[in-house]
Amino acid sequence: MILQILVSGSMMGLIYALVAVGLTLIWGVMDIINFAHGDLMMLGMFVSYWAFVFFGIDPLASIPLSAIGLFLLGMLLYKLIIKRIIDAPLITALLATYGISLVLKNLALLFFGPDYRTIKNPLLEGSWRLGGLYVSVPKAIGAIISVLVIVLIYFFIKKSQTGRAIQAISMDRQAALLVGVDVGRLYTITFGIGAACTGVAGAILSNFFTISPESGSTYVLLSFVIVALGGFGSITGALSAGVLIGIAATLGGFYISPAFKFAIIFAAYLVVVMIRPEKGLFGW
Amino acid sequence: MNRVKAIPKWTWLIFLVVVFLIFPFFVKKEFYLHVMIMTFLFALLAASWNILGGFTGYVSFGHAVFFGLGAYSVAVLGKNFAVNPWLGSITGALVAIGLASIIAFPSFQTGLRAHYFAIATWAVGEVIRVIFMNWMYVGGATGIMIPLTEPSLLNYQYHTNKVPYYYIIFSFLVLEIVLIYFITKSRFGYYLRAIKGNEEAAENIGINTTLFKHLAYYLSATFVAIGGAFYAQYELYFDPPMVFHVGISMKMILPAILGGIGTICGPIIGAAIMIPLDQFLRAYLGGIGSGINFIIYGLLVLIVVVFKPKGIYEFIGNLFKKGKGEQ
Amino acid sequence: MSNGGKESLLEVRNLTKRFRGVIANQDINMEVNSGEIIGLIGPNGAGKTTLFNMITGTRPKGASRLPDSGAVYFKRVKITGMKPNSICKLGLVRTFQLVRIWEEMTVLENVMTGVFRAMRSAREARKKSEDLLKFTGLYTKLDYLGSSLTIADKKRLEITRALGTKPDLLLLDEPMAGLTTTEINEALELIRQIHDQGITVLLVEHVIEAVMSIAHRVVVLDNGQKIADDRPEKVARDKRVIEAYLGEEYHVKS
Repeated sequence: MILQILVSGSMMGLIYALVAVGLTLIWGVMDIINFAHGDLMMLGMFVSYWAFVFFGIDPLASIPLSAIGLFLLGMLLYKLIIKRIIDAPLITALLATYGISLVLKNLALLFFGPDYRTIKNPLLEGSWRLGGLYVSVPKAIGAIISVLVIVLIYFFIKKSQTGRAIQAISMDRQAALLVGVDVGRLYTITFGIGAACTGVAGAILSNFFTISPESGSTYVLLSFVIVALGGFGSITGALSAGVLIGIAATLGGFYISPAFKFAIIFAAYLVVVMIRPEKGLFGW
Repeated sequence: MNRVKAIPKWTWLIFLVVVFLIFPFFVKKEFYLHVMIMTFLFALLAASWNILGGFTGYVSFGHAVFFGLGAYSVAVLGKNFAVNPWLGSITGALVAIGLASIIAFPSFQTGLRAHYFAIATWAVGEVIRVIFMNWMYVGGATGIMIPLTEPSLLNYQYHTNKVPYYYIIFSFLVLEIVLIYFITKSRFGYYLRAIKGNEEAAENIGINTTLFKHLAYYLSATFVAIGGAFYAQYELYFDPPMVFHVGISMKMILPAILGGIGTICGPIIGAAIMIPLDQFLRAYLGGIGSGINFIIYGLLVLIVVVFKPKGIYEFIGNLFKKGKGEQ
Repeated sequence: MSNGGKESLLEVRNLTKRFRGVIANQDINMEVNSGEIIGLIGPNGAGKTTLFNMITGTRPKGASRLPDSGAVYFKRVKITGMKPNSICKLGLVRTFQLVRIWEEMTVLENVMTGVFRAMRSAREARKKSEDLLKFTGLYTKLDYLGSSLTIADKKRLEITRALGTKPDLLLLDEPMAGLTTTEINEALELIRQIHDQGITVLLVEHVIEAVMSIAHRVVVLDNGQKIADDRPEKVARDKRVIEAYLGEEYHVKS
């Protein structure tokens, strides 16, 4: 039983981690706390949904659609709003992104309605039997895709020229400016990538989760907790913390109560944060 | 030269107070009274939040917990122990202080940074909300009803008449504003602003920053709890989402930001704009209205935060400054 | 240790502090006597900032405020490990290298906040603050916002605010940094006036001429160790100091 929970939990954790990676990237590079992160994920879910309903595109195939769509939306949001609040005090950034969240969520409510929707009979459904374990197909594939995307982003940041420039600005913006780095462009890209990550996660989740404009709100605090635990700006931290949280949530849900699943996580977060204020579980 | 000019506010304030005092004599329609009551309530809440968030610089995203605790204290004590709601309110304030200290001690003693504190308060808010949703003793998701009693001030309850509620909440608001005003003129107020300005400098100038952060938090929580108790007695029924949802926390923050964070009147101005807008949109547009008003808030917040971070208060203040150019 | 009859106000005894893998302060011994003006100089990385932080109770980033060994005594009370606000209450106050006034408060409000350390009433605090501002020459800018001041004035404000706490020992962290020659002379004059009021001063500084012209005694740090502690003329001729820091022979203006 434990093994089953560990496996399920890890898979979900990897998907949560993808959301968190987007958030931690934005946070680490630009020092912006993106409250709208959950709602961007929700939009990713809806991209999949409408692609399925109108064009019959399977959610699996619409992952690139969500990725591109959210990437573009992210860049747009940066250009319109975020770029004006770089360097603003904490509360300004918090409220600006909260404002975005309000607008996105309620536009979705207005245009899509509040009903909960599901995608029926996607390509990925059912479970495989591996040994004594039931492995949910959509979750497993979703987890694999999440890991791939995270690894992709990791190497992009670490190895590519653009990625290294992004690292440079996150460490010392002044210095980067002095050597001629186009900070604005890189910030735009970073925000776009962050949004794309969460969009992809949304597309993955649309395979097996209910979809509604409220979906974003459920996961936003969770992704914040993961980022805080993994260390702001750390991709590997977000990955590990995500898996941990996924397992903890599943364990909690199973042994204590499904209703308290996330509450327990948040309580655990509080404990951790009080003991290790700056570094989360893994340091920087 | 950048001189801050003192605006003679006394005449305006007295005028406004008088207007509000006689308002119910001229306006009888229940809905309008309701709008005013909600406006005063959220002005109270926003001003309370502002003590910690605006003056001291510690943003809390979970302030709704104190609101809910105030409401539930009064409801549970009234329903199960027949405790008078005024006593229940005081108890609610004490419970709120209790929770605030549980949050404050680990946060402030360890010097938790602003980001983490904000999220921690949000996390606390969510945990409490989930607990109350599943706690059968207080009604769980079904909510809780205040036992009906003879309408009277002593019983803190009226059935058909909104006017007494109007005066009660207005009195609380005036009380709090006066208190905040005296605080800003006192050592306590200077110290809070110093903490917000630069906490390390404050410490080095002899200020026991930890102590004052605690005090600001408890003061803030107390008034929010009193607001929550009022809300319970006003609505006579509520459930966890009505009092613990993060949206309530936001409704305390947004007016403060809109109107001018860190000022006395800012939260009131902000509430005066947001709450009536909210109520009217909801009334006239129904279900869709609920969505639209949030879109408008969201846009308002974005506009204020991006273009006029000091809020409307500064904007109005600028109108009164006579041509002092900036250097 | 002979004080020449003066009362020992601050004593640093065998202070050692490791920081980020380096020994920032190694077995430092020094004292400040009542009524002196002491200069603390040395090349970058010598450990001046760490020593300063150990004395003032400032927590260095990511480290504890306790030294690894040794202690600091102020008025014979052990202050190492104490929080800055408690140390301030004893009569020791500091300014910051990157000036830390409260930008959103007025000049008067900044000073009043400092004065509140010594008195509770806002009315009395205002009166006292005005007197202090007259003393330091900022009275005419009473209700200017902190953010609108020049660097020199901001530093002057920070000192005024510190004076409000009724200190016996004033620690200045590179007060001359970023000032023009005229401003430096004005600052030196202010320090002399403060000293005449009976306040002891310890300043960390890189502007050597300034330190040498005003200090009774100069302490020199290099690589975490104290390499000189004497009158300015003597220190200026000290071979070790010249090698480590001053370069060619430096002549003190007497």
